[in-house]
Amino acid sequence: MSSRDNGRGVANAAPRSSTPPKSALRTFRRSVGPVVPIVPAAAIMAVFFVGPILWAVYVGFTDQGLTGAAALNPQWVWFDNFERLINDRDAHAAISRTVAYVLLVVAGQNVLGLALALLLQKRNKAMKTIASGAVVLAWVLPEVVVAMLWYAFLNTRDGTLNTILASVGLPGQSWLIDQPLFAIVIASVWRGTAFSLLIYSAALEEVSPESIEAAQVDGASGMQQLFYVVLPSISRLILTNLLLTTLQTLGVFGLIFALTGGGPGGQTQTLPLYMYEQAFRYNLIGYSSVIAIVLVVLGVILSAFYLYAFRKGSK
Amino acid sequence: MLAVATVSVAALALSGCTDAGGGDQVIRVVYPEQPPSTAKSDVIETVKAEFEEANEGWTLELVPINAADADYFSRIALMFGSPDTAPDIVYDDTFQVNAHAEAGYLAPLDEYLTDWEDWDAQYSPTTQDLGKGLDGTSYGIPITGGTIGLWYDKSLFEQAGLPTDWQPETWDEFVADLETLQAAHPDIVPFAAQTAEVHAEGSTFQTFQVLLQGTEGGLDSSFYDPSAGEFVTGSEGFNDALTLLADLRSKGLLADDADQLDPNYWGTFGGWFTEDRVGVALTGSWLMFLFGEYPEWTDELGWTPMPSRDGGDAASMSGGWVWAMGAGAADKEMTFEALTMLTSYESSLALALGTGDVPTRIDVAETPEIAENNPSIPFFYDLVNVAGIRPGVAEYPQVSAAIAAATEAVTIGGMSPEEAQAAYDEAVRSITGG
Amino acid sequence: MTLPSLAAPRPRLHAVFANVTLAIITLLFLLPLIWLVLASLDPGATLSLRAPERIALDNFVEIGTWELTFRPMMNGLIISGLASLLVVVLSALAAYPLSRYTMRYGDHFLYTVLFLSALPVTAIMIPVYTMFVRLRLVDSFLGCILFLAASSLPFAIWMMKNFMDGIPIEFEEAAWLDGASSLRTLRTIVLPLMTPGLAAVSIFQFILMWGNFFVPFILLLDPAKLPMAVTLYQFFGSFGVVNYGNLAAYAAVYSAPVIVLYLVVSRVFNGAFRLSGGAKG
Repeated sequence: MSSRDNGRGVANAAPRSSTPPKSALRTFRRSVGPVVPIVPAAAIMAVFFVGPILWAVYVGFTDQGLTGAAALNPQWVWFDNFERLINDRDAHAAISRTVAYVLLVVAGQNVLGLALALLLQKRNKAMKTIASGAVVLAWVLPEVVVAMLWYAFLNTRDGTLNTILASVGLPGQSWLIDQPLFAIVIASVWRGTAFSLLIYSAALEEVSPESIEAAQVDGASGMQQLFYVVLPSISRLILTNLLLTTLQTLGVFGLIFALTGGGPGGQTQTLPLYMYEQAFRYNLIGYSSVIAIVLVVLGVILSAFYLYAFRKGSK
Repeated sequence: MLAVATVSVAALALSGCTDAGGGDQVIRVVYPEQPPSTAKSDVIETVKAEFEEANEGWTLELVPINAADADYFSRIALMFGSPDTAPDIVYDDTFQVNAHAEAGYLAPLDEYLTDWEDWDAQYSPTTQDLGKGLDGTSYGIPITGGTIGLWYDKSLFEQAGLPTDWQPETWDEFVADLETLQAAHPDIVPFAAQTAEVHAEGSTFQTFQVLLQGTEGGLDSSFYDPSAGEFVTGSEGFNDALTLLADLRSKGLLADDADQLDPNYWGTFGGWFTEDRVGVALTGSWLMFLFGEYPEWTDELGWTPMPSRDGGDAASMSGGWVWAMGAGAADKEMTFEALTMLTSYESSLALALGTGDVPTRIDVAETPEIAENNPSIPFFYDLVNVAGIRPGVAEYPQVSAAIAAATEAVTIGGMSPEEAQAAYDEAVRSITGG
Repeated sequence: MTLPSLAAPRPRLHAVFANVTLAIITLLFLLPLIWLVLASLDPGATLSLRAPERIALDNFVEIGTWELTFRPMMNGLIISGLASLLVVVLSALAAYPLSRYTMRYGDHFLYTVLFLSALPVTAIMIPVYTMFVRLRLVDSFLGCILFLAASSLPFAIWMMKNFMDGIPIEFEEAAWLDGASSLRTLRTIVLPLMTPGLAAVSIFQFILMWGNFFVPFILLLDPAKLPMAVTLYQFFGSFGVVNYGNLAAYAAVYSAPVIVLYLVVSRVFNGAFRLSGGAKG
């Protein structure tokens, strides 16, 4: 597919309805003038954001190391690193683990975020402030703090969760050891729900009351109203939010790194952590650059899929 | 636009003033220090004062890195990666010296060492080797050493009818004694050793390689063959060592999985000694630092070497730290001057007392204060003679991680030694591209 | 209109159900924070949940040193503050023509920007490090600020453009006809009208940068330059020897600026972040 197609797709999908007619301005300075203000931002993004991606591709073809002879004189090794990736079972495990983690977290925080937004819709102001305040608080906290909180919460012997369970007569568990994936998923959902909540709250405000009334008149139940009226009318925002949360979750590093370090036994080692380990524990900068490319490509595929769905959905 | 300009100017000014450390008259000393410990900083501060007083216009800049070992290694590699941040003097682990030398990060020291009288007088040839690269060149002056042996609780041994001057000769005897201990004290952990992946070098260097060293032919035939320059796969010794761990596990002689997997397990079992909750532990001389208020340990605990599988020489591993010079040091003469001050009798003594590590200088090892401070030191110092060392090749960290995966697999993951060894062999082949 | 009387009990039941559910969820969201609050006020705190024997500020006093707390905090303020300022300025500049003109390649630029904003920044940290070594930007605030700004710009431009689209163009047209330059129009007319949007973008960016761990962890090496995100990790990482009361207090101090900012925003702008305004696709 070409980028031009994608471009048009989104243009169709997102007409600048809020922008007033531009005919008066169109004739006004059509030369290079308007582009100038974009230049600083574009330059910085090109150098520090696009540059590293291209650089990663270059380094991925070398055996560059962090120490040892490969740090001093990296050799061009063609596709060795890519070949290694194809044969690297740990990397494959990390990829499927990442997919599972991302799916669980995205599903969790979208469902919870949407449910909260729906529940909050007609509540009084106090309830709105308290509930959304608690949820958003979890989101503004720095990721290392969140990791620490959950480390204490899920702590083996007498962490908060086990203490609560014991108080109602339930047995505790070594959560971070017995259920490590659950631990990082729930910590990520806890932190990420606010984002979905904010987006869905705003979306629900724009659902026209008339259409809901019409459905009520037709005798639709609450669930029917939700599935046949509310959700379809915010489908585009759901899609946007799914994409944004998916990509945010794909890049989660600090939270997992500080909470479990990828362990125990690599059970929470997602692709970003695997990349870090290859680069900084095993000193394989070249190979880890290939993993970086995989992460970027995963992001590209997901975005492309999203743009495609976006275009289809708006037709 | 004005705002952009202001921001850029401010940012430039910031980067400018923080780069001020790069002048010729400054020697940057990089070392690991995890608060609340100040053992290394205290020693280096003293050297800094002396050095700066003796050499007008020179500054020793202290750069303590607060990071666990594995993070520290990547930090210094990152720092060496750029001339702006490269250390002039670095506290380096012996097993990293070769890789750092091959990367061109470290300066060869031979020409300076030949003129330094302490070098041959105070450092035994075995000790000197700890700071050498595979090319035989010296890149570091060893400052502290560490060997691995068994700590045991004499009172628990006595109650179980075992000798308080315990000296198991073979693995069979070792296991049998642990079982006796277990029978007498069902509530304690008979044997504490790190075996989880999360313990990294703790599982490989402090546990598994000690066992390997005690197998037929030692490390050379079970781990790394220095003459061929390659890692060994499919060895019987490797299988023997994994089998021992699996036996210990199946007989319930190790701690629970939750403890065994705790990243801080070594800290935990250190504390257990103060409460008579552990019988034997395989670790180094530094264990005393985990005891807190437990002055009786010098009488109540004993030390003995880990036996080899079938008797004969005991088994141990030896590691430690060196002070090394960065290849980019502007004035190598002056930097070496600072190195000799960091490794002087006074500095070495203070550091050994502060860290509880085994000293490397002969004169320091013979100082009575050392054994008074930590009575286990003479024992661990002597182990150097039987101890193996880690191969300093660039692939070692990856192979080491593969070992940790194997030790975890047989002690916690329920894998058979054969399966674990097969997985290890495959990992080694993929790492070394064989 | 006799139906409502019949239907009335149901909405009320629904409201009770919603309120109870919300109360439970709110409580669940607050649970993990309890330990932090209790431990930070408990001089003898451990990882366990327990009521302090004595409530005191000892932990906060103990961590109040230059090296441990104030320097990392200042570093973080410099990095996050300057980077978010840079992002706001550059994204406002870039968003203006994108919002106001129909440019030949404007759409392409926008979709490239949207696309970039979607890429996981984590992935490029290692290439960034190796590239920065060559550019001699490793271990400098400048490098860290520029990279944080660059990686935040795509989403910021997108947010900013959406806010700008919401400002009616009529005011500007008058200024244009008077011959004002576009930058002047932006500064004197558009930006004042979108203060809430500007505040939302800058605070949103600041919060993200303040909490970012991986970027400074990789790009900054000198302990004297590290922000609290990294020093807290180091503090937390020294398992076993760590004083949990101090650790909890440290985490509380580190979180305080973003919590305050968040409270300010929700007070001033009535409701949570107006992020939604910027996130519309």
